[in-house]
Amino acid sequence: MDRFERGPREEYDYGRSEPQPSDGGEAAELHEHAHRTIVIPGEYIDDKKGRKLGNDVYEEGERVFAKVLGIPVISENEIKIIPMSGVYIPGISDNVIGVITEVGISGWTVDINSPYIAFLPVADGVDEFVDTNRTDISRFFDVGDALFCKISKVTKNKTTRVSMRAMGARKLLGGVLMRVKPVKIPRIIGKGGSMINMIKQRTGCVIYVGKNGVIWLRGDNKAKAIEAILTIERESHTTGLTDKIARMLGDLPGVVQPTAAAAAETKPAESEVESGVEVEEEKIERPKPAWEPANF
Amino acid sequence: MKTYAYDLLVNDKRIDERAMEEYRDIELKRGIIKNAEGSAACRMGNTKVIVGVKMGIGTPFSDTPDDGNLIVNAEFTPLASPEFEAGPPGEDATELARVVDRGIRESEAVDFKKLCITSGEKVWMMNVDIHIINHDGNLIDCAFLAALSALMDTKIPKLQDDKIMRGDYESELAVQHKPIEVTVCKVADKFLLDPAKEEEDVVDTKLTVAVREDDNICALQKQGAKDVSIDDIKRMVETAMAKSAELRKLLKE
Amino acid sequence: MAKTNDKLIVGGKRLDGRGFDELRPITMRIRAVEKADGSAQVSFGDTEAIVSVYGPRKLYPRFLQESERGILRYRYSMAPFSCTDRIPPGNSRRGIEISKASRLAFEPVAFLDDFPTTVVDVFTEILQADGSTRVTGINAASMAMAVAGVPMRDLVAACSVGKIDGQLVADLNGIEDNNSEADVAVAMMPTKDRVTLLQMDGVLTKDELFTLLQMARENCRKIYELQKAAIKDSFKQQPDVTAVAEAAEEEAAKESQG
Repeated sequence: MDRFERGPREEYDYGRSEPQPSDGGEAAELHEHAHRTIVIPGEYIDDKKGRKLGNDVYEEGERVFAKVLGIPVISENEIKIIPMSGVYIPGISDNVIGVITEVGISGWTVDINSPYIAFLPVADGVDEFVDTNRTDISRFFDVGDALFCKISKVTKNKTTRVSMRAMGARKLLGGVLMRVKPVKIPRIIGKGGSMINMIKQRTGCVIYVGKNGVIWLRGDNKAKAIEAILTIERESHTTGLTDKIARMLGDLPGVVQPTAAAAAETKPAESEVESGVEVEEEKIERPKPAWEPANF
Repeated sequence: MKTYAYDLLVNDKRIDERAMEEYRDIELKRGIIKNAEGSAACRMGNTKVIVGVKMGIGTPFSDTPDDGNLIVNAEFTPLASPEFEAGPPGEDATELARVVDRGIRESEAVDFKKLCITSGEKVWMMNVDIHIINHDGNLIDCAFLAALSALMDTKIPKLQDDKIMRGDYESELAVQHKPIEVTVCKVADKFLLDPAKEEEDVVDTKLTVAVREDDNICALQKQGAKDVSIDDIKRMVETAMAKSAELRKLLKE
Repeated sequence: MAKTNDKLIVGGKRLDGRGFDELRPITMRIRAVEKADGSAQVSFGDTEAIVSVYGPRKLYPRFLQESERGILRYRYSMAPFSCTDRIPPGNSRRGIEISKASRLAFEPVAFLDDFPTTVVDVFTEILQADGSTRVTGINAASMAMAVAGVPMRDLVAACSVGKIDGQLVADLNGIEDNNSEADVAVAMMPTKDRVTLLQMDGVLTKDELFTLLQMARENCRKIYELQKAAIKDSFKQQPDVTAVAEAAEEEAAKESQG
């Protein structure tokens, strides 16, 4: 659990921050090896010593330098930087939330909150066979629809494809979308999902988090959840953040802390129905093992 | 894809068998435009530039009531290159005009005080118009030679009751210094002068140096998308200084 | 700004009391424009520049896109009220030339290959002009780009140097700039010791020029340290006062329980 670090505080305590977990897996490693000071572009980090280099560092001979403003993470196997800011550049296998901007003949154009536009081909969006000559595919997804999907391909000049053929991929109905700086997403998710799960539990909201900095929320207390997320975005480089967020959320009225029995119920709770419209989870049927995650 | 020009240059070769610091064949002609008060054409290899000087009357700036004015303009005429488009000067044309202007102005090549008609009210304005006729690289050096020659060719018209009597001259423009602009280029670790267009396209950095006949430096402009070391700069300045004397000989009196 | 016949150096000091190699008081702050991806505001004495960086972002029209790398666009502009005489808004030839030179100051620095088909837009506004405006703009632009997360090899630090009343000086203010025998603008990648912008006007001997280049190099390094500190300082942790108090209480409670 995060603890506010007591002890002598230095006058210029540059970015003595929480380790920045990504999707949870590397969290433990980061915690042990995170360097605490922010570096600026061009600052020397360490000698390469045969290690793998992240995207945000560059090398000159044996010396490794930062490319961007961020916190260096040096471990036995890798040197990389957790950036403080930057746009989202699509990476293969990333889970993102995109919004349809154009309906084409054989697929859809998807805004993934990046300088790069993504394309969702019909075959990767819909299970059933579609005769694109006869069908207007807007009946599946239309302009303005939000999708939780996966980046399936990125070329060298960043032409990008997404796919709905992934675990958990779905069209997001109702709810609201918000954008945060993509570099803050790992902090919002937290170690092993600890931060986002806390927010979900304490607010009772359904929340989907895209690696591209887009977040979708649905629920009565989403305002509180949004406030918590924006706070994390603003103060991501500070310590004691988890405690602060926990205090912010406290115990909110009308939120039933989910029990195992309640979770088993598929019917959405009363509080989640918005403006009298019945919320219907439209699920894409999970494809058969033909598409293993490894195939992406 | 690096072009053949690049391959040649990094091996100290030019596309036309010149030495790295050798200029192409240069031709300088004066008095070629009848209706201009002064004019000159310069050809460096296939690069051709014509400069016309028109004298006009204007008001001096309030803080220099006795000084005439210099206005340099450059047109990258569309006929000169497939890359030039019709329209107002873009950033390259603007830059060229200003770099030529600075070479003339800062070196005090023309005595501005001699252009005073009535102090605080009327002074001569020198409109130096640079017209690119064919773009085969090294436009600045060629344009500068043409511009300075054109100024040396310029005669000041007679004034009768405040009207300019075109074609009737009272004196020659007093050109008191002879600056030369030399653009030194760097590609990889090689230095070269007077690049043809194909060579210029692969060059990393350029430094234009305006050198006066007393070896003073009057203007510097670095161009190009790459960085250089201070030692590189020193070397490029020295190369320009050495070469400027050679080019100055072309400016006949 | 007007020319003057008065001396610029009196009693061995410049008119504003500075030493020959002394920079004016400098302020730097980042995040000056909340909407921008990155922004900074920098002042050298009375010269003040504010810069916003947007990008990398999609570039339209498409024919401007480069498939292999992103492009950089730099716009230098002076606000109409920035000088003693009003400057009509819009592009001037000087603005166009300075924009080009400033853009080239960053071309070798940004990792544009990482962002094909996109554009990084840098907008520099000079709010107050008192000499050395383009280098002030570049100093702010460099910080704004770093804060926006544009990958770079180094920051860019820039300064002016020149000759006034026969004396070689650094950081020319307005009156010095207008009455100088020579003024030089230099931008560098400070930790790599490489020059990315060099412009000069005036009359200098070769030796004077070479001395000025060295002066510029040293001052760019000083400016770099200020840029670095300003960026890092703004990310300094804000101690959570409540948490400290609560934690201290907890600790005290635990101790009293034995």
